[in-house]
Amino acid sequence: MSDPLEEERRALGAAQAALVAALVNHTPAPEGFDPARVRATAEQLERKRRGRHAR
Amino acid sequence: MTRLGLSYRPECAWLLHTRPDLDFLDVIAEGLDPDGLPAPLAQLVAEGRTVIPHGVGLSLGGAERPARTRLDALARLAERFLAPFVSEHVAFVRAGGVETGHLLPVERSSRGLRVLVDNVRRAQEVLPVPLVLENVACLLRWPGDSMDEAEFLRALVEETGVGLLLDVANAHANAENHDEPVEALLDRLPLHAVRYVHVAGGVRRDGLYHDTHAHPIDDPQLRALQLLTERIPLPAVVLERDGNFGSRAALEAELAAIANVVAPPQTREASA
Repeated sequence: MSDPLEEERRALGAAQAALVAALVNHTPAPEGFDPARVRATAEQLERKRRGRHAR
Repeated sequence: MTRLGLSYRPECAWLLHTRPDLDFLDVIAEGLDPDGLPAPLAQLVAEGRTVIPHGVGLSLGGAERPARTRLDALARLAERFLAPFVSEHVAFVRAGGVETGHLLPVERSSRGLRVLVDNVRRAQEVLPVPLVLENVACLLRWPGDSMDEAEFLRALVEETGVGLLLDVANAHANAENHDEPVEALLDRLPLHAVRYVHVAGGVRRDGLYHDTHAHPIDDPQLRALQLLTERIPLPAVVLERDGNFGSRAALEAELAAIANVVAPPQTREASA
């Protein structure tokens, strides 16, 4: 059975993947995002990863 | 009467064993085997304390449908704990095959809402108990946001009947970082749907408030909790600490500060 939301899922998935790529690779924020906030979130992710490894 | 509790972590199990009054707990669901629970957790369940499976990996706000294996795992834990409900987050944690290990905010648009609602309904079909979702703290916002947090959560609750786990520290964090008074959020959230409350600490760093869950709770989080108690009777409040566990006295002091807000001494005497 086809999912009526298939098209929206695909578009949303691409947008989420672009944001995640910027966050984990420290590449520029996707268009429209506040670059400073994307950077701050990327740093949060990194701190969290370091914290986990330290445990 | 508001019940009081702690998020179960191995580091603070010892406190729970000496404090039977802390009878409302939640525990990170991922990695827990219902047939092989850690002994301290199994004991708390056997004592009849309420233990809520708290998921962090469903990614209900993600573009993908929630994985059946993850839902089944949550369902088995809920049955093992005899839990009244299961909790998760309004967030996505993976996209494009990358696991972030972080609760990322959902785009508050009509497409973001439609996908989230569909994912929540799929989860509700599989879970044997109601689903309760937590508001997350986020530094960033989507350029495509067309609703504020209160509007978005209200629509989600209306369309799915999902309950809310209201994290007052996350509400405070968003208020600070997006320059909105926390009162404005609390006044417009569907508070009737709140099933329990999280409180946690954070820290201000580089001009932003970070919800670390590894710092002691302080006046701003307690104030947000106070504002909430002025609006609704709270079923249960849980202190969530993820790291940097201090001394027993420090943790007990935080619990006492919470108790002082949700059940001030005079009302405790009056009901005794």
